[in-house]
Amino acid sequence: MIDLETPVAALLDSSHGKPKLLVVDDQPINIQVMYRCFAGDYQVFMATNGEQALALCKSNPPDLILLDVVMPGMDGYEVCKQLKADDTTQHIPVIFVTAHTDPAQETHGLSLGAVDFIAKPVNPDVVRARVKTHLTLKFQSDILRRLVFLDGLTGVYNRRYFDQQLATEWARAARSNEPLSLILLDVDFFKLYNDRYGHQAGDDALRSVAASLKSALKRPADLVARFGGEEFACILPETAFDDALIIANQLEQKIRSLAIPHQSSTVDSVITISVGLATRANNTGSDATDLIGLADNLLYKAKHTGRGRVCSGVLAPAT
Amino acid sequence: MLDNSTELYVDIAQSYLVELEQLVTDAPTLLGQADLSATVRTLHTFKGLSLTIGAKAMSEVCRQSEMLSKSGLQSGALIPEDRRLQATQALQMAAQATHAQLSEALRGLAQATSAPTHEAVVHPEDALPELQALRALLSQSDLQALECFNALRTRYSMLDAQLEPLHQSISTFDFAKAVVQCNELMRTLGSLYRT
Repeated sequence: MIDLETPVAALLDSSHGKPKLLVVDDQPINIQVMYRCFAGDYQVFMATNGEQALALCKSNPPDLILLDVVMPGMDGYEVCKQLKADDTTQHIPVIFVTAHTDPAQETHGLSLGAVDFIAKPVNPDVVRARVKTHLTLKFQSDILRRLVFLDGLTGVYNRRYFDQQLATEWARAARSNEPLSLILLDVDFFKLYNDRYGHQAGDDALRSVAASLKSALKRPADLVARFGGEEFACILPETAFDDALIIANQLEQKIRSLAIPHQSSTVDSVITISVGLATRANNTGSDATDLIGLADNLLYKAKHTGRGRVCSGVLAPAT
Repeated sequence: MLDNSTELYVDIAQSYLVELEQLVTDAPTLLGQADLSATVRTLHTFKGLSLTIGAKAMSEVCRQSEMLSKSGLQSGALIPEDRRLQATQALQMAAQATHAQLSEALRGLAQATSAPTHEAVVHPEDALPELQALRALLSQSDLQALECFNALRTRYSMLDAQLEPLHQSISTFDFAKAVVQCNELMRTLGSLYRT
């Protein structure tokens, strides 16, 4: 897993798990040769046809693909085209490996989105060097893409990513008729905290709260984002109201148990949060902004009924 | 005893020899096809395989036949009889010569690496956890399965006959079939050695 603290070199040297290569070729001999080139430093997977390659890229995305051009059925060009057309696979670098020596074929492959073209017979040293170069670029690109969607202070996702993901999850929930829960939470008396302890301490407190929220939500699909200022949002896909309420209460308790002193709070002697939880039940005909609206209203209610608590509700079906 | 990487190299060369034998058989009809697109693909693939294994002369003959087939494909006409016969002969002769050279090289390799082996005492039922690990690798199309299987085959030579179908599937990279065979073998060993 890439995080901002991991140098790219470490991602290449197997200390964070070996990079994954996918070799796609209909000829066992070619697969074996590639395996021998990379077995020591990489985890090497294989597919013997285009359909198998596409399925593997969805289920276990590799870091780079070495792709033969001429294969029975779906050829390498079509595989590359489909990979680049899919959001989940478009960022995987594709290197064509082929006995073709025609510049027009090479141009065609590169125009489809491949990053390189290697001619057979492969020189092991050359192909290893090229793969390493392209993997370096890929990992750097992954980090840049994450930076765009990360909050600089806390390291959780930013508002831009939250908005995008909520829309995606709402659409998915509507399609599959699954519940979707949203938590909006806010650090109590945060301005007073900054005034008393200073802005540096305020930043540290926000980082601690964010880290705590992130560690509390264990499922890969759950998302924590900084909504703005001292406010955070948590998207809980496929989570019904009762389960989400348990999670919301756990989050409230977890932040309180950080025991960050807050002498200016009237709720407790430590930092607390107010929480608004809203759940989209099945057959709701509204949209994502209604869910945010309800969660926001419930957060407001939590603030005005004493803070340091959870207020919750289910989004009513649109009339 | 052959170490795992040498065994892989021998596997590669032996696979190529099988392909070569097939080419000698297919050569007379290959260039006489009405639809030359499959011929072009076959010759192109063989050109690449030959380059990979280092058989440059074979690769060049394949390239020439591929060009001939492509021109036939583009013109929509059959390849003229005399050119077809000439190309077929060239393919067969090159294939036979390459086969002889590679077989000789493999024999030399076998002699150089053979050594008395000291086999530790193992029991067939001990193979079960290793078959489980192999099955996991095969399910993920992870090529580490090749080494895992070679180590298994080396260690459990008493299971040679039972492992042979698995060997066939793995060497042709039909990992889906290999998973099924792995499951069957585990069931067989499990029921044979259950106390």
